[in-house]
Amino acid sequence: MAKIDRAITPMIEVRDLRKSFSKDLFKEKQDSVKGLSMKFMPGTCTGLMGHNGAGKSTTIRIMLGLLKPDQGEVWFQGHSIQATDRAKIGYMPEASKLADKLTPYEILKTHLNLFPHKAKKGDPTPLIDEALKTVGLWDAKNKQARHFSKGMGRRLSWAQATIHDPELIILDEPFAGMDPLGRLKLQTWINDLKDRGKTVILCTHEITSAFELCDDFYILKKGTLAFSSKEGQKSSTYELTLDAHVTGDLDSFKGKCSLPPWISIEQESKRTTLTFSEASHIKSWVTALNSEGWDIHSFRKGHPVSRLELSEIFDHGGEQ
Amino acid sequence: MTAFYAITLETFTRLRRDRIFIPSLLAGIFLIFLSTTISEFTIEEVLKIMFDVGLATFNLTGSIVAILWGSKILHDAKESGSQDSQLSSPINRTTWILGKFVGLAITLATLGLILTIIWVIALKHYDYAPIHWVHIVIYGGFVMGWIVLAALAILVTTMASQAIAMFAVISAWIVGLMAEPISQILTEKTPAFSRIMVELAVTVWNLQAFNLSRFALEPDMLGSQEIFMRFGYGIMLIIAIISATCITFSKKDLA
Repeated sequence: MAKIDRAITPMIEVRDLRKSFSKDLFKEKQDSVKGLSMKFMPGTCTGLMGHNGAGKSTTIRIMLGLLKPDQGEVWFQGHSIQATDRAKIGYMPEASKLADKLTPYEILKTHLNLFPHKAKKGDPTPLIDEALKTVGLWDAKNKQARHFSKGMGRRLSWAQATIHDPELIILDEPFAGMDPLGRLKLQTWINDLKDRGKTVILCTHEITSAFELCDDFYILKKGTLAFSSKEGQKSSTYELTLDAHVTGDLDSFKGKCSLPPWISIEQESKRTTLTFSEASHIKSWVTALNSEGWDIHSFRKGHPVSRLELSEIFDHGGEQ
Repeated sequence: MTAFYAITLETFTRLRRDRIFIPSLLAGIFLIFLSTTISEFTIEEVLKIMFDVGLATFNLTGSIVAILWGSKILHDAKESGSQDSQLSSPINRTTWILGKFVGLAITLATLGLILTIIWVIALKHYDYAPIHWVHIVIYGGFVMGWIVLAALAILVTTMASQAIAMFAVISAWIVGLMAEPISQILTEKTPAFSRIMVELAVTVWNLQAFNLSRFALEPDMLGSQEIFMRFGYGIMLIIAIISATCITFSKKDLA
């Protein structure tokens, strides 16, 4: 078997993916995903974003083998994905979808037994106990999942997605229905996964969480890629303008930093306008601006720059 | 534990805890004792009434439960998300659907076994008739019929919604029960097309094959060859339906 260069071989990759659905027999098929190509590199957290109907769930379901693409293919660690590769994938579905009449212990035990490398390892109880303690469901070990709150359901889904120690974890709207504490815990878990070299695909509408957690972003619009933070950092039409009230000295900043061509700064009296035509690395530039004494949080709409920037792209991606 | 066994066990556990299980069990027990009570009011045909009412209600209860479970099992898996979680693991769809079916079949067999034991207890208690092994075979025949219906319900739910599946399988159930009696009243005046259709139904979908209740009063009339033929027919039907289910489900988009 050829040696896989983890630094350059994507963990999972979709190539020219196309999928269409027809609502009924008499209607024409509608394209859900139109020639989508994306790469998800090992050890990174990538945000997969877009409005409803953008094709996020269809793409994820094709990756998981739940849908068959009309065209294109999914590659996993450098080869066309096989059923056995799914042993290395963990999936946290949207909403707290769980077998309601079973207890967490039973759900996790069934789940573990679907993975041959775990099923052969004898008694799964210690592993399940550890997972339940980690997600904070130890006390509810023998309680049927139908009695769970939505947040508890999400925690159980989290345990289910990670108990078999996958290399790639796909999270579909993981923060939905979680209380602030649970949300914080989940963010910590995701960061922990990244630290352990796992690959995470975060499918979410939550700009703030995505910006805090993700290294890269893909924004989908009507089944096509509207924005990629990896390839040239932008879609062809994207341009973001931020108005900032600057307290620092612009000339001094310009003297110290050689600004990349995708940032332009214009100053008129007390108002400074920054135009970012690319989204990647904006965070580090904002940090640099901050260190120069710029008031970076006084942008229009009152958003911090990170959130505003992604929101703008996100809205642009979903523009009709 | 293999993936197949895990899915089978999970399905059995879920159905055992389903809200239909205990009420159907209680209804079955109630109807068994009702049949013995009703037979008390007859003048001469005590045993016949008891067997007719008892076996008919037993079969009816199980058939309805089989159709309900068969048409909801995949729907529930989809709604609860267990379908997505489980099928995004290395398990293949054929193993998954077979595990679901076997879990359902075992639950139906358990229901049938419990009701059979209650029936035997009732017969012993009222000291109506000696227990014959054929009586157990009669119950086995009914359970085979339930499993066939459940398999058909699973097949239809791979192609249609739960409501459509239930409607379709109830219709098929009625056709399967009526085909043989109708074939016996066909005359020379019956149009050829109707005759062909009825005969076709009797050949490929004859649920009366699993109804051995007429041997309840004359158990010695039931030979081993007939038992083999009827159960063999049931097994062939199940294999055909489940094979079609596996093919349909493996090609299906789980949207």
